Amino acid sequence: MGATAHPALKEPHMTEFIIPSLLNLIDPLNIALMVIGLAGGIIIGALPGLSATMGVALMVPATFAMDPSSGLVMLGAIYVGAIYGGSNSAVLICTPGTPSAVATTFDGWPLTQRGEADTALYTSLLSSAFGGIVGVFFLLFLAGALARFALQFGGPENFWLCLFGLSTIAVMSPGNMGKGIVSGAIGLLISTIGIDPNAGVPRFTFGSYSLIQGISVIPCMIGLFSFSQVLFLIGTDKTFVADYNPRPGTFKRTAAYLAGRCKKILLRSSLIGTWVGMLPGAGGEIASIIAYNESKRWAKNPSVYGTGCIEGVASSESANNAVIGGSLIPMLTLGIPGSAVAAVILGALMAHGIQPGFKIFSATGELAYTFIFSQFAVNLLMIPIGFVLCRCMAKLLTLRLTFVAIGIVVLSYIGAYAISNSLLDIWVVVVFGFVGFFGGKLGMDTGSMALGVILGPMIEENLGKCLDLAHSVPGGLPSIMLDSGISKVLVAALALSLATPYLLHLKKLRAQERSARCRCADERPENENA
Amino acid sequence: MRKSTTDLLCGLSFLGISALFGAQMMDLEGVTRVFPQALLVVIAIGGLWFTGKGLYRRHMESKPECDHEPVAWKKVGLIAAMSLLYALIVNVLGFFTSSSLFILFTSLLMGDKSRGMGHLVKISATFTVVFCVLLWVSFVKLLSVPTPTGMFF
Amino acid sequence: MKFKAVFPCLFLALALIAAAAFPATAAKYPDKPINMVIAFTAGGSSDVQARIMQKYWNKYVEEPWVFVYKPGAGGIIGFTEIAKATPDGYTIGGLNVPHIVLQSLAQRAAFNAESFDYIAQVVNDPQCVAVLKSSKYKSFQEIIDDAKVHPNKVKIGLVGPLSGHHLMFLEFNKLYPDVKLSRVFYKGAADQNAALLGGEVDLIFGNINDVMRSIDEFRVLNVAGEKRNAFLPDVPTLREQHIDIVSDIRRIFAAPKGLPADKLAFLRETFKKICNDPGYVADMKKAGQPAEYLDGDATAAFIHSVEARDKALLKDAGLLK
Repeated sequence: MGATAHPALKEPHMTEFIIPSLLNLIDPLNIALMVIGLAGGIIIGALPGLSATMGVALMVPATFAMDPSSGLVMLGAIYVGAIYGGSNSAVLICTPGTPSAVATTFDGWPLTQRGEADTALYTSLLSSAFGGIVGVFFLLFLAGALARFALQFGGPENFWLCLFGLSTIAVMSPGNMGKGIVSGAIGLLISTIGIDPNAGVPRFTFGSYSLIQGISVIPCMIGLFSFSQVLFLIGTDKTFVADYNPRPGTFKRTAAYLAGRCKKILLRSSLIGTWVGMLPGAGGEIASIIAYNESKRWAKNPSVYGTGCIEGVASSESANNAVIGGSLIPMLTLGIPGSAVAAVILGALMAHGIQPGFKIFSATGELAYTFIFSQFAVNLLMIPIGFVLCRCMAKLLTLRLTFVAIGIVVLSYIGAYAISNSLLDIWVVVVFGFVGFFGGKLGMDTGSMALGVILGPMIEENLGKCLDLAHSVPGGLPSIMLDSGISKVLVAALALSLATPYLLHLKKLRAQERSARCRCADERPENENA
Repeated sequence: MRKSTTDLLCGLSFLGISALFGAQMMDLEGVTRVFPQALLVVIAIGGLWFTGKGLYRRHMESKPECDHEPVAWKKVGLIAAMSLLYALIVNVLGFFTSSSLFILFTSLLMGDKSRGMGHLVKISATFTVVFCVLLWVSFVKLLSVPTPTGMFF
Repeated sequence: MKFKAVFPCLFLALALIAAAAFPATAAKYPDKPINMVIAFTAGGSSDVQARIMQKYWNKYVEEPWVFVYKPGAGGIIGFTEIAKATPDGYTIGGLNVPHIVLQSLAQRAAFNAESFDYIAQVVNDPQCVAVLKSSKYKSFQEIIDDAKVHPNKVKIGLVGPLSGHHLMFLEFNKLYPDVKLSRVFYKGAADQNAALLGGEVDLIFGNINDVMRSIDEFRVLNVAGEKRNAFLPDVPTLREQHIDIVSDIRRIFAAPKGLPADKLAFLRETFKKICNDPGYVADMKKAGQPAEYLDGDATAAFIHSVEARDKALLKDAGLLK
């Protein structure tokens, strides 16, 4: 990728806009919009079937009646609330409310099963707020430089990044790595149903015309996680979803633990989230899974992940909220959205006649800074509002399992249908629900499958781009794939990632060896050195 | 389920999936074919591997070890069947009609009958009405999301 | 049973008399909300444009639009939905040309240009040739000359395959068969813009509306329109520079074929009023949407001419199915 020299841009004078933006924030209308947006966003995010993208898209028409900065503030609040809200149902009923909360189920649900749902809920709340603030911090101070960096990711770089994301399956599969890999391959295969991204030819439609639109990611995930969970929960024949014993002081204790022991994890995951969010194409789901796996890879005691540890929830949730700030970076500075929700917000901006680009910080500076500062405010406001809503949502656990299960089915159907008004999506939910349930019983890994469905189109598209680009370079395909510095780094990361299971195994062996040696030494006191 | 059965069934499903998709690959050519073909190879190999492993395990194990928690298959079957029916009628009868029917009948069928049928009927009916009203208010009124419409609403 | 037949006959006679006496007032159209099918995702430029129209539709008509999003497969899903809807005037939607033509010719779509009754064209978004501001190319001719000397070295980004950009590229190849540009397809305009900004490609055939999103960083060399574009008045057309290519994307509103004539007339009339409303024109300009109104019949004629031309292009490229 040729690094193009851009003329040095005169940095906008941020200081001119600080006072007017802060004054805008204190405007009662804006405060009301932030609160309502947050609350509404959290509820939409928490409902399985309704995603952040849909929540924001549905509210866009309402912003036409307001002035642009208020409209943006509201949309931003909904975005933040929804991405956090997805963790609530992920924790309480092992059903990610939004796709980006998938990784939160890995440790959030075991915590609930142990009766510690409140710990999990508070962890995700505080981690989300932290991640969100880190993301906005980068948006405020480093937008320009980061946006330029994000542009260096082209076909080859994105291809390697997606493969790296896929490779995390190797680390992730709790059971059998082989089954995990094949599940991932099945997910990738399912993503090929529909129109091929490189030649425009329909594939695997099995004679049914409606399959030409392919299997959308969100209904597939609703099926794999929500609907299959319904079958699983009913199968356990319990009266309630889980025991719920709220103990006083949990919030303070969780906060202290996070501040004390999880600083590195929170920071690393937030950085991963911001960075992945910046890349057009990669979004919250990938960021949170990569962050979770990185935390697991570098942890002193990796086996505790998946059994219900605070660290797991913290890494996933801080990453997916950091994505928000990251995705807004290229959206505001270059008009290129870093996530699906950012794309919707961009559409709203343009409908109001606001041009994205570097001059958004100078010509419409007040609007831009009001929006950015509102994001800071929203992340802080989220803590009290989320806290109250946590209490309400946890009451779900007091409902009988049967009713919760029935409710999830209905919500899954309408949530899937609402995305593209397609009956096919409802059937996707049903079919993948069965696949997830029976597959789970057979040892298949639904997380890998979901990851395959998400990453499949991106991998194939980028591979196609590489093949096209290869015509213009003498070295052909290998040269294109390994040309840039970023590609080399990603390939190295990929190799490391694939080697991780063996490295972890070695680590375990060495630890066992060490403890065995110590035991031997203890049993032979005459050999101890003075 | 015994571990060997799990592996065996898993392997067979993998093979089944590769056969299903493989049959559809006939008229694909060129760049369209590359990616799915590579995937099918991986899945088929996995299928063979796990089928083999399952058979080997079955051959080697002296006593079958059950390592799963008990599953209430009857209940699972019930809710699965109801959900399938629900998906089938949702376009015929309209979303709210089918949802009400689904919620009511599933609650009655699967609910806790320990406090008598009458009590259950009351609870199921209340749940149905409350839930549907909430759905209607939030989806149709607040969010203006179109719902499948059939004969009724 | 013969005597029983008296009553129905009597009733029929009375009814006929009543109908003759009071001319039956046709049910007012529209008397309930109309479904507006959008074949792309919410927040995209098709959606934004339709929302602007909705604002002015509400000025002239009591019954509102209900937006139904049916994205997928580059628009095929939504377009099929419109083609297959009941032609009772309560489902209309947005179509894109050349998408519908290409999809019916090369992607085995379940519709073709005859499947619709056309209401109006509302947008004419011409393609343009854009490079980075820092690029060494100052005109399209320079690119052509460079590519002649270094075949397959100059990279061009297109949204595609089978899009307006792809068509323009095929037309270009027909005009200049010995100029070999290396083409790369992107999923959408955002990816295409990002590729140009990052230097992955040297130039793009983009749409005015999409290029405007990053206009500060781009230099638009040419517009592929009949005449210069109002948003970029200083940019010459390709024809002015003796390159005979005119290529654009049109946005059209249509109903399924078979709509009763009076309802179609009502829709056409209302859309005409909206498109001539000064408030609408101003809003479209503000949103960067290049508005151009063509009435229903002119639209139908245009599409048929496009169909013939594109069929030939696709046939030459071996893409016809």
